[in-house]
Amino acid sequence: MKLVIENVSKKYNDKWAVREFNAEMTDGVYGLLGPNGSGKTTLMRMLASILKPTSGRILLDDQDIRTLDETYRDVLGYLPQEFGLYQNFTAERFLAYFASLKGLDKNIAKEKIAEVLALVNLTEHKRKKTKTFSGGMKRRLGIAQALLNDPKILIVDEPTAGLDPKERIHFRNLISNISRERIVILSTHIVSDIEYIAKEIFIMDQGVLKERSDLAGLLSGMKGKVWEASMTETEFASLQGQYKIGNIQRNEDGVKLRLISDEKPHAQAVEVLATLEDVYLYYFGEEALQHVQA
Amino acid sequence: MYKHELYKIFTKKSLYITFFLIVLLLVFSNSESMLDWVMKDEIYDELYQTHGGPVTEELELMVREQMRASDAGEVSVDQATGDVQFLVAMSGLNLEQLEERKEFLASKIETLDQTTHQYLEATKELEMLKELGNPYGFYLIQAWTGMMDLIEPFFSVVLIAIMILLGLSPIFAEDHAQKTIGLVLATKHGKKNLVTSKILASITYIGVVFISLHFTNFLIQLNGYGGLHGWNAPMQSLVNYPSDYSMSPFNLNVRQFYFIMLTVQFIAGVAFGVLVLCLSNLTKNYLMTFFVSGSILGLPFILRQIGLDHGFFKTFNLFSYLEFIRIERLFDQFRTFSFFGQPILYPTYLIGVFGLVTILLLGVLYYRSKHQQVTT
Repeated sequence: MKLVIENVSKKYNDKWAVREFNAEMTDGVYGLLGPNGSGKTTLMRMLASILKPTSGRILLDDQDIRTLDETYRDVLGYLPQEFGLYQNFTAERFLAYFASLKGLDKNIAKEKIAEVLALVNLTEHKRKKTKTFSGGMKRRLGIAQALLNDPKILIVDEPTAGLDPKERIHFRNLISNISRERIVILSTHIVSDIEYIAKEIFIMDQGVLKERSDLAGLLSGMKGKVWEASMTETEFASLQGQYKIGNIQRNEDGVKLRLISDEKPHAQAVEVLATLEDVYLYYFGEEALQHVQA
Repeated sequence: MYKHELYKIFTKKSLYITFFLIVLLLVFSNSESMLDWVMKDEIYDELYQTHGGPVTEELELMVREQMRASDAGEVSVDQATGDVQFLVAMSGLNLEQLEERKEFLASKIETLDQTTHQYLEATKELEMLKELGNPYGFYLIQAWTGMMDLIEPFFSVVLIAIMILLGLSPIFAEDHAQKTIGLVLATKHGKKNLVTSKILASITYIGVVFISLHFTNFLIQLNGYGGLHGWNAPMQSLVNYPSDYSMSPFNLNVRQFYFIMLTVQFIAGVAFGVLVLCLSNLTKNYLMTFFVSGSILGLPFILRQIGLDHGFFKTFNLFSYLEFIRIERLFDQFRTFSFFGQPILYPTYLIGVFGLVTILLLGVLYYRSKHQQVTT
């Protein structure tokens, strides 16, 4: 199965939300990384066929998804960034409703509902009304509905928002486990969500694809750009504003910094191995990183 | 899908509270306004033996003599006898009017060009009036008298409409309000089959509301009038104010009219329901749908109240959801509209027009759902 995004753009009034995005995807996890407002959600909506591109097209095995229509949505699982639940529905009824919307046979639906409820650890809450659910439980139920039809293409937009660290790890492992025979497109501004599971990472900013590569490629591109240096508070103050600064560790001797720079920023600076967080900092700056670390 | 859509509708507590209040209103208003002569006393059986059935010249002469004697104080009659005498005398007058109308139409037809709309219209009316025979007289009509309307014709519209508006306004709007639209539209059947399910669930809901309201009314009327006598009387005998079918040209008995009325009113309810669904999809807002639909329904009433009921406005008012659900004015007199020169009876025309409007609205609904996008 091959999903091709061909010159896809989306314009709202005079503003381009996504501009000439090109990508080709086969089985595996694809991470879409970018700060809020970078166009990730718009791109995800177009991929989920709930928003029409202004220009360009999306092809599944060489066929336009608009032509495929129901056939495309039959293999699709989608979890938007913001979504609600029917307040009067129990978790089980909510999934039964989506099973029917996805065209699942009644008997198969029953089994699948039990299976996805177990996957997201909601089995014991299946008869509770969704209005009693916490934010994390709602998101887990959302993930469950996206998985109901065993989708060949899974699109999840900021899936871990609102999940606690334990649930986040559980979700990451879940995605990793199910990604073998399907395309998983995961958008996030939380680096750790995709760092170790993404086959390829797309870095988006202001609607434009800035960079695309696997993790190793992105990290090798950062060679000679990530530094660590210990210095006094006075030196630190003079460096602030000149470089993109990641971690700041204070100790008795002064400050230990991790910073991004194309050249050696300080006499005592030592080049270190980059992480995906450094890549994010390199492209989007410290302000965006605050969201990442949040 | 259909089952779940039904569940969504029927789990709204506000519907049950409203229905309960409506039932209370029906019970209260009927206990206040029930006619004095509900024809359940034995005296009406006796009076039916002597005065019942189609009015004849002899019967009319007899009651007129009895009324004259009563007015002159020569005899005293009880309330029931007096009412029945009046009814027979009125039937005589109605029959006279009917015969005069037939004569007028017959002579008018002779003066008209056979290709004109007026000729065809007069011929149609005359044919219908001839089929009536003699539909006037005193008939022992019990619960049917109050079964044609819920309290009265305008109230029937209000009560049915409130339940439809409450139940159906959220159908599409709630997917937006509850932010489930993105999830729904990305599913296989979220753009087409779901619309069909929502429509079918809405029709089922309208049916349940309709049956519940009319069955409740049926029980109230049955309790008040004490029986179901009069089912085979001509519908022209239904003269309970404000509904008066004495000048109706339709050759139907009371039972036939009741079932036709229910059928047409149900069709009207479904047509209005489709309008509400369409607005729910267009506005994406429950309250907006409620008020816009309510305004469309109530506009003819307001226009009439401010005197706009002539020329274009008269036609506009006649071809409104209000009149369609109200039913009464569809069957109370002979009225036709031209369709390529052919006179078509008002009820038939109205059903045709709203059939087309409803098909158009359904088309809009399916088109919009198929092309709906999520931008916020």
